[in-house]
Amino acid sequence: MAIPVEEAIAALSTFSLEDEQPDVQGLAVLLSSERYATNSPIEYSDVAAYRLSLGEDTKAINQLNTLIKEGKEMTSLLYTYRSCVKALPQLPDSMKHNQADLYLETYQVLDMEMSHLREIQRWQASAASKLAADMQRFSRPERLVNGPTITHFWSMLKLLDVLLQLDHLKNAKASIPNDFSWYKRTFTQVSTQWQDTDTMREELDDLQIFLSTRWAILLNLHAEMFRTNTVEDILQVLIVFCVESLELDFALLFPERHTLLRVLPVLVVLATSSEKESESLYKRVKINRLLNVFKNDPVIPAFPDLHLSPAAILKELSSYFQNFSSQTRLLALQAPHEIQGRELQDYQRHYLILNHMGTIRADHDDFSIRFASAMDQMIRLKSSDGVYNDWSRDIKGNMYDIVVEGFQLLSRWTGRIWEQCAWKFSRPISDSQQNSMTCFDYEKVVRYNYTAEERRALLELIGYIKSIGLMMQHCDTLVSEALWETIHMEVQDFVQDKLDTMLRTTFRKKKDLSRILSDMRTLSADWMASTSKADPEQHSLHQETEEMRQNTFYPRPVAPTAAQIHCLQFLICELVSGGNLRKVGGLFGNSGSGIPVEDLKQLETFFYKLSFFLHILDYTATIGTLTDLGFLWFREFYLESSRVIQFPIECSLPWMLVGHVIESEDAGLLESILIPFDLYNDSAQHALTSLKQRFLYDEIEAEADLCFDLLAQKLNEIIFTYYKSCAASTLLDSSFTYACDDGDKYFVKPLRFDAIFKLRRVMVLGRTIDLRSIITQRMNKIFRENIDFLLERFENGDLCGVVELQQLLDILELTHQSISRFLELDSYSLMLSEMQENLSLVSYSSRISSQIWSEMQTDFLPNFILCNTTQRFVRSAKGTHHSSHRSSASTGKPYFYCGSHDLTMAYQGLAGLYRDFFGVPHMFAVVKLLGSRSLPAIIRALLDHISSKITGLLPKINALQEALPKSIGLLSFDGGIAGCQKIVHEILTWEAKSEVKTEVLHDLKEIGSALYWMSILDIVLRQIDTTQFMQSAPWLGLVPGNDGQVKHAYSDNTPFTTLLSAASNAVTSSPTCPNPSTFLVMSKQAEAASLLYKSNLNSGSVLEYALAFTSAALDRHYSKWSATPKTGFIDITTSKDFYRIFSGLQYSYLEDSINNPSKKQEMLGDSVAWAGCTIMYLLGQQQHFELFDFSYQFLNVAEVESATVSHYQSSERTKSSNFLQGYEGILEAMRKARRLNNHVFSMLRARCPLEDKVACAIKPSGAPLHRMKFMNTVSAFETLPQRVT
Amino acid sequence: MGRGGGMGNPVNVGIAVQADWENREFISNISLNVRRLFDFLLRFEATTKSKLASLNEKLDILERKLEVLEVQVGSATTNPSVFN
Repeated sequence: MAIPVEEAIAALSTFSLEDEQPDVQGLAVLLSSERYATNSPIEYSDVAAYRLSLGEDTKAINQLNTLIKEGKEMTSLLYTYRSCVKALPQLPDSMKHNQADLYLETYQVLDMEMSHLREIQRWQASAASKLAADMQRFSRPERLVNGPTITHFWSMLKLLDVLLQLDHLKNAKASIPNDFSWYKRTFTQVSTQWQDTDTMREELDDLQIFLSTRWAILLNLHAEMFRTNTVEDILQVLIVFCVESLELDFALLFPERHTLLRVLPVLVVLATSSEKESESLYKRVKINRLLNVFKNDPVIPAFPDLHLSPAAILKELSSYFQNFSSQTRLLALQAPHEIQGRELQDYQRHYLILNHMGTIRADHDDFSIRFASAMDQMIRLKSSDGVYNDWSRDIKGNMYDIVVEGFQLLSRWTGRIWEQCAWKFSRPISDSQQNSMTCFDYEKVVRYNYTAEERRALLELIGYIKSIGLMMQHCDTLVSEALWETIHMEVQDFVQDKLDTMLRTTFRKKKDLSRILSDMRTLSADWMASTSKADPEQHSLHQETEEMRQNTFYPRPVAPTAAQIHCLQFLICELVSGGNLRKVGGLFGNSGSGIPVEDLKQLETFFYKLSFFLHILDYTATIGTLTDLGFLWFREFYLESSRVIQFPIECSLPWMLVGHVIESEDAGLLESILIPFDLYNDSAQHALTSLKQRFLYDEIEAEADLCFDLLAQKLNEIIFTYYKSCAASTLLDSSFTYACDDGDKYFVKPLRFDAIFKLRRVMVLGRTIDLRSIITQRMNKIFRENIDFLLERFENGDLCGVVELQQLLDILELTHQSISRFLELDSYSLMLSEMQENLSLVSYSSRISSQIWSEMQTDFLPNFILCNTTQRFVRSAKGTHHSSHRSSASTGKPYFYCGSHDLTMAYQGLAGLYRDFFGVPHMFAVVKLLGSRSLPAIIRALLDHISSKITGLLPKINALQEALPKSIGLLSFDGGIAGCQKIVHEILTWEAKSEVKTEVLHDLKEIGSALYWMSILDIVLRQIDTTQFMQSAPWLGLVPGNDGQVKHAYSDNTPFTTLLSAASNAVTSSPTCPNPSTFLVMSKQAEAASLLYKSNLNSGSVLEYALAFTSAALDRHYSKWSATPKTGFIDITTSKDFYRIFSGLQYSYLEDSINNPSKKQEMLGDSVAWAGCTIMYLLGQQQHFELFDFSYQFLNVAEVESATVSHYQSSERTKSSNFLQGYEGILEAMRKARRLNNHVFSMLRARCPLEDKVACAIKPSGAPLHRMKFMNTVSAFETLPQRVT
Repeated sequence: MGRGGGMGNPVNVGIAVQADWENREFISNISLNVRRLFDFLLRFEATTKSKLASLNEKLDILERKLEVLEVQVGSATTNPSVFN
C-alpha cells in the first residue's frame, strides 16, 4: 500500500534530532545553490508558448547570457593569473650549452598561458561585436521585433560589466605584459629554426598591442558600436534604467547594485561621444542626477581586492574618448584618494561600519525576534488542521514580508562590508601613520588600516550576517510553501482583480492597451485556483459582480515561472511606455501614456515586486550569495604588486579577526571566534566553484589549517588562564581581598565558554572537526605541562618552596575541578602521579619525595639551624653558598602560575612569607604532597641517616675521649668561678683537635635537626589523625569511655555498616527492586571500609618510633660510650661516658660563642642540644649529665659564690656585681643551655619512657644489675624492623 | 502596438496556462518534499555526528583509564616478589 508523500515526510519529523551544539557558525552546506528563477533553467524556451512574438528577444538574451558566462570565466582566469616568469629557472654556467633546450621548454610552458590570453583577445572581440549588433538591432526606431525586455536590458548591462571588469583587470595586472615580453623573446629564439612564422609573428604583435593598450576592450567596443552610429538610443535607455533603478533602490540586491554602479560611468562615456548626443542624453537624464549617483559612491568594489572609482574611470577614459573630454562637470569629480577635509569625514562616516553599528545591532535584534515569532506561528499553523482562512493567510503574508526584509537586510549589510573594503583599499594608511617599518602594500590597506574597534564591528557584522543567513536557511523547507502561496496570491490578486478593475475603467476605450492587459491576464491567471474550492460557476467567468469576487481565491503553493515574470514585466513596460523607448522621463514617468496616476503607481509597484519575486523563489541561492563573504580573503592583485608568493598569516583578514577576539578577550566576542572560519569556507568555495583554481584552494586550505591550529592553542590558553584565575581568586582569603584597597583586581571578569565546549562538529573546508575533543586533548596536555613545570620549579629551589608548590598545586586542582564540569578530563590524581613518576603500584617514591629527601640530605640538614622557641629551621648564614649554584628557575608562561598577573603577584607575596624558614606549615605541605604512600620512605631514609651519622661519630668521639684525662673529679668550690674555669680548661685539652670538635658538633647538629624534624612531623600527623578521627568516629560507633579511653559502642558492627545493610535489606526485600546484587555489594563494601578505618585508628607516633630506632642504633655502640663500672657501682670520675664529651663540647661551645661574637655565623642552633640530650637520655646518662656537667657545676659554683658573697657582704651590693663581672655572659648562656636541655629531657621522658634502661637491680650477691628488662613493659624495640646490613 | 505583438489565440493560451499551473502544483509538491527529505538527511547526519562524537569521547576516556590500569597491573606483576 502506497503511503502518501506528505505522510511519509511528516513521519520524519517524529525522529528526535536534538542537537546540543549551538549555532556559532554560519552555513556550512547549502542544500541547493541552483537558480531556477533568476536564471531560467530552460533558457526561456517556454516564452514562445505565450505567443508574444518575443522569439528574437529570447534568442538575443540567451546569446548574451552565454557570453556573460564565458566572460566570467575569462575574468577569473585573468584575476588569478600569476606570473610564470618568476618561476622560470636560471641555467647555471655549466649548462649554458643547453640554453636552446631551456628556451624551447620555456616557450612551451608560456605558450600554454599565452594561448589563454589569445583566447581572451578573441573572445572580447567577438563579444563586443555581438553586443554592438544586439544593441543596434533592438534600437532601431522603427522596431521590427518586440523587445528589448527588462531581462534583456540586464543581460546587456551584465555583459558590459564583464567587459569592463576584464579591461580593468588587464590594466591592473602588470605580470601579464611582463610574461608576454618574455614569451616573445623566447619565441624569437625558438622560431629561428621554424619556417613560415609570419602569421604567428603577426598574431603576436596583435596580442602585444592588445595587452599593452589601456582600455583596449572598451575602445574596441566603442568602435564596434558606432560603426553604424545608431546605438545612442539604447545607450540612453540603459542609462535611464540604471539611474532609475539606483535611485529607487528597491528590488536591487547588492551584486546588482554594484553592477549598475560600475557600468554607469562607461555608459555615460559611450553615450556622450558626440556633442549632439550628450545634449539629448541630458534632456532625458539631468546631469545632476548622474553626478549625484557618482558622488554617492566614489568607490565601487569590483574584485575582492580591486576597486573601481567612477571619477577615475571618467578621467582616464576622457583621454581615450576625445568627445568626452569636454564634459568638464563629470571630469571635475574627485577620485577617492583626492577627497579631503569635511567631505572625507562624511565619506568615512558613511563607509565605516563602525559608525552604523548601533542601527545594525538594533535591526538585527528586532529582526531576529520577529523572524522567530513568525516562524513560531508558521509551525503552529502547520500543526493545526491546515484550513485556509484569513488567519493563515496573514501568517503567511507576514512570513513573506519578513523574508523580504531579511533579504534586504542581508544585502545591505554584505554590501556595506564590500564597500568598506573598497574604501579601505582606496585609502591606505599614509607612511607617517605606520611606524617607520617597511611593510607590504597589502598591510597598508588591510593589516594596519583597521583599528581595533573597526575589527570588532566587522566581526560583529559578519556574525550577524552569518547567523541570520543560517536562521533563514534552516527554515527553507518550512517557509517555501508559504512564500509560493503568497507570491501566487499577489500575482493572482493583481491579474484577476486589479487588472479587471483597470480594464473596466481606465482602459475601456483604449483597444491596444486593453489588449496588453488581457494578455497579462491570460498568461498568468490561475482561474481554477479560485474556483476549485469555492463555487466554480461564479468565478470562472469575467462578468461577476464586485462583491462576489473579492478576495475569495484560494492560492496554490505554486510560484510563477521565470518566463511568466519575464513576460509580465515586458507587458507592463509596453503598457507604460506605449512601445516608445524614447519616451522622456523614464519608465513610470507618467507623460504621454495617458494612464492615470493611481494605475501607474499600481503597475510600478507590481513591476518591481515581480523582480523581487525572483530572488525569493531562489531562496537558498539568494541566501548563499548574500552571505558569501569569501572575498575578504582574496588578495591576488596585491600579491602580484608585492612580488611575493603569499602574505604571512598576520596579514590575512580572517586571521586578524580571530586574533582580535583572542587579544581583546571580550566576553561578547568569544562565541564569534569561529565566524572567521566561515570566511575561509566561503573563500574556498569561491576558489573552487567560481574561480576554478586548485592552487588558490590549496593556499586557503593551508592557511585555514594553520589558523585553526593556532586558534585551538590560543583558545586553550585563554580557557585555562581563565579558570586558573578563577581558582586562584577563590582560594585567596576573601577577608583579605575585602580589606584590600584594590581588592577588585583579584576578581576575575566572568567569561562563558559553554558554547565553545559544546562544539562537537565544526565545519572547516568540508571537514568536520570535533573541537571539543581537541580542546580536551590539549587541556590534558596543558595540565601535565603545568604540573611538570611546578615540579621542576620546586626541584630548582630549596625545601622551603614546598608551601608554594602546594599552593600552586591546590590552585591547579581547583582549576581541574572547574574545567571538569564541562570537559571530560583525565583525573587530577592520575595526572599528578603520572608526572610524579609513581604510577606503578609498587613504587613508594615519587619525584617530590626524592627531591625532598635529596634536599634534606644536601641542603637542609647541613645548612639549616633550629630555633627551639619558634619551632622553625632557618638557613644559617654560612649555608647560603649552596643555593647559588642552582640553575635559575625558568620563567614559565603566566598561566602556569595563577593566571592573571595580579593574582600571581599576590600569591608570590604570600609564598614569600614562607620562603625563608622551615616549620609547621611546611610540614603540612610535605605531608599533603607526599601522602601516606611516600611518607614512610622519607621517614625510613631519615632514620637511616641518623643511624649512619651515629656510626660516623664513633671514631671522632673516640679521639676526643682519648684527649681527656682518665678521671675527672667534681669542680671544687674553692677557687670560685675563676678557679672552676681554670680547672675546666685544664681538663679540656682539645686545642689540637679543634677540627674533630667542629665535625662532631656538626654531626650532632644534623642528628638533632633530623630528630626535631621528626617531632614536627609527629605534631602535624597527630593533628591530621585527630581530624580524621573526629570525622570517622560517629560512623564507626566510637564513644568516649569512662576511663578516658575510646570505647566501641557496638560489639561487632558499626553504625555505618548497620545503616547500609538495613538499607540493602529493605531494598532487596521489595519485589520491585530490579538489581538487588548491587545493594548487597554496597553493604559488603561498607563492612570493608569500616574495618579499614578501624585499623587506622591507632597509628603510632612517628617521633616515638624515631626515638626507639635511634636508641636501637645507639645500643650497638653502648659499650664504647658508656663504660660499665668495674666495681659495679657508678663511677663518678670516669671520662669515658658520652656525657663527658658532650659536657665538654657544650662548655667550649658556649665559651666560644661568648668570646668570639664574630664567629656567630658558625652558630649551630638548638639542634646540638637536641642530639646530645637525646643520645645521653637513650644511653641512660641523663642523671649523670645533670650532676656532672661542667656548665651545670659552673652554675652551681656561681650560685653558691654569689650566695656566700651576698651573705657576707649583703651591705655592699656593688661588690658582688663586681665579683661576677666578666662572667654574666657565659653564665646567662649556660642557664639558657640548661633550660633547653631540661626542655628536651622532659619531652623525651614524656615520649620515650625508659624504665627498662634506667632501672637497676641489685643482685643478691650485692652486685648491681644495669639495664634490666621488665618483660611486661611494652617496648618499641621489639617492633622495630631490623635493617639488613 | 503595431509590431507583431499580442497573442495569436488567447483562449488556447489561457487553457494551456491553466493546465500548466496544475501540473506545476504537482511538480513543486514533489520537489518540495524531496528537499524536505534531503533536509532531514542533513540534519540527521549532523546530529548523528554529534552523538558519535560524544560516544567517541566516552570510549576515549575508558581507553585511557584502561591503559593506566594495565600499566599499574603490569608494574605489579613484573615484580611479584614484592607481594610475597
